[in-house]
Amino acid sequence: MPSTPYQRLPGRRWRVFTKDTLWLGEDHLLSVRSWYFTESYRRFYFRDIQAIAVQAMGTRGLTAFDWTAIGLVALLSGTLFYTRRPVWAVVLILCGATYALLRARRANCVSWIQTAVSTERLPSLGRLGNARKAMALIESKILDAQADIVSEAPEEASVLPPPLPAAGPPPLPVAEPLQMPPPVPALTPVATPPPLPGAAAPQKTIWHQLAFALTLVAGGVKLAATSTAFPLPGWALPPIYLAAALMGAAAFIFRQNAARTGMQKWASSASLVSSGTVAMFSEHYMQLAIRQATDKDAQRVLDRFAGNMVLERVAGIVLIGCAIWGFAVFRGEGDKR
Amino acid sequence: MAGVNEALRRCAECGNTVEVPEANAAVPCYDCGGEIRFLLFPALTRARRPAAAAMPAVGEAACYFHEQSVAAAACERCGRFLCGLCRIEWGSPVLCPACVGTAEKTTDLLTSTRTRYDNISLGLFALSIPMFVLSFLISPAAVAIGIVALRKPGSLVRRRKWRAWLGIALGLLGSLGWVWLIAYAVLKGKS
Repeated sequence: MPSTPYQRLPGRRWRVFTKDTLWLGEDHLLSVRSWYFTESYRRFYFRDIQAIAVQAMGTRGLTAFDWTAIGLVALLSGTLFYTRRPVWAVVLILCGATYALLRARRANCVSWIQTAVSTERLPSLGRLGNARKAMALIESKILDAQADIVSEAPEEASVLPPPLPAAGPPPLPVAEPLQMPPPVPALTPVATPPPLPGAAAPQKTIWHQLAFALTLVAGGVKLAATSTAFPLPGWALPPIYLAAALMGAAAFIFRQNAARTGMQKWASSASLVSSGTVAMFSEHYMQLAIRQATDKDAQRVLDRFAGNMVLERVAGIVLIGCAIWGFAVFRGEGDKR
Repeated sequence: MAGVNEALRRCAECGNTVEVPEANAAVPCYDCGGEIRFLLFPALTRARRPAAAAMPAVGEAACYFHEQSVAAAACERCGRFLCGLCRIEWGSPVLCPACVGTAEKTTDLLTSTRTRYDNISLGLFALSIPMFVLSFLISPAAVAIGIVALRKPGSLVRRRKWRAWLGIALGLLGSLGWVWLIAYAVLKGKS
């Protein structure tokens, strides 16, 4: 079994769909972003690394995550108070424990790496302790790799006039020849390079476009079925939702989400979630659930839910809205490229 | 010290920009008291080295290997800017001589993405649980993709194949379950 040539550095960052880790190679750092079905790699060669910065970040303020947790706890507490059922206490304790765990492991620093050609964030180094440990491991390797650059410095200083003959005029002060020409902002061309042709290949968006098209069709059909006398068989919509969800999953598998902007990711997620949610609560499945429900109260609730035309219309509008939003943000990105 | 990108100098807490020290040190933010720890390396001073008169004009990128030449492309693996002399077309991507040199040793060094077939195999098996009715199709697919995972190169950093083997084993289990179910139904029907 082949062994990996990489050593994993401390720290990792989990997100909903991705995990970031940092690995130490022979002559480079490897930043790995793992989706569930793919991995993408970014290499930072020790010779090219110019600077690393670890920016401490306070964890005292309340973020959107904290406010969401507070709202959820309030909701669950209210439900527990009114229903007096122990199941809500268990849910409340589980939610509280999860929140406490996530809060304790939240990122408390931001790490950056700068090379001659790029400045990138190192998401895996999001905790100060991990960042310190990783820096201790890589600092010496970078310095070793750049040892020849250090030795270049005397060469620059040695660009002096040849030694004067003894009979010549008195030697100039040592500081005089060392005076370098006025500093030229040589980094400027490197730091802000103009966009080069072919540097960033446009990414395909076919799976996203198909997903949005299917979401649009599903929303349109749903709206037509609730607003007009359009004959719609009960089994027709779930396959469309499923196909839309599969298209979204295909975009995810084929890494079409890799270089998306935040707005595009939100639009894709909204389309995927709304399709899935509406599919789960579609008329067909609700009728199945009603038939299988043994509790009469549950049956009554499901029945009301399934027969609610307003809700059905809202679902159709939401689907159409998500699809149009998706088309709009992806079209905008295409124009930019 | 000049040459450090603003993203590194900006306080993550308040957004204020701090001064970069001359040597490795932690710098406090004057506004919020937050701290930024800088590690500076010799490559930074190389980038700031005064250039010759033939340097490309401000606003133009220079070749990484020839500072006097204007960049014409960027290496698609390491991102270095290249002049017309240094750009090497390696199939469809444009690479720099250094990347082509390292690629000769092992092709792994040119890899920027890998598909995790082993995880796809496991994911398919997981999908067959909620979609039990379709598992007669999904389970053999999990086996097939597990075999593909064994044959194709997997993750660069995790080289063990146990996920692929697990996907194959679970897929086989699901397939055998269906075979048993069908055989049972047929035999029951006959009797």
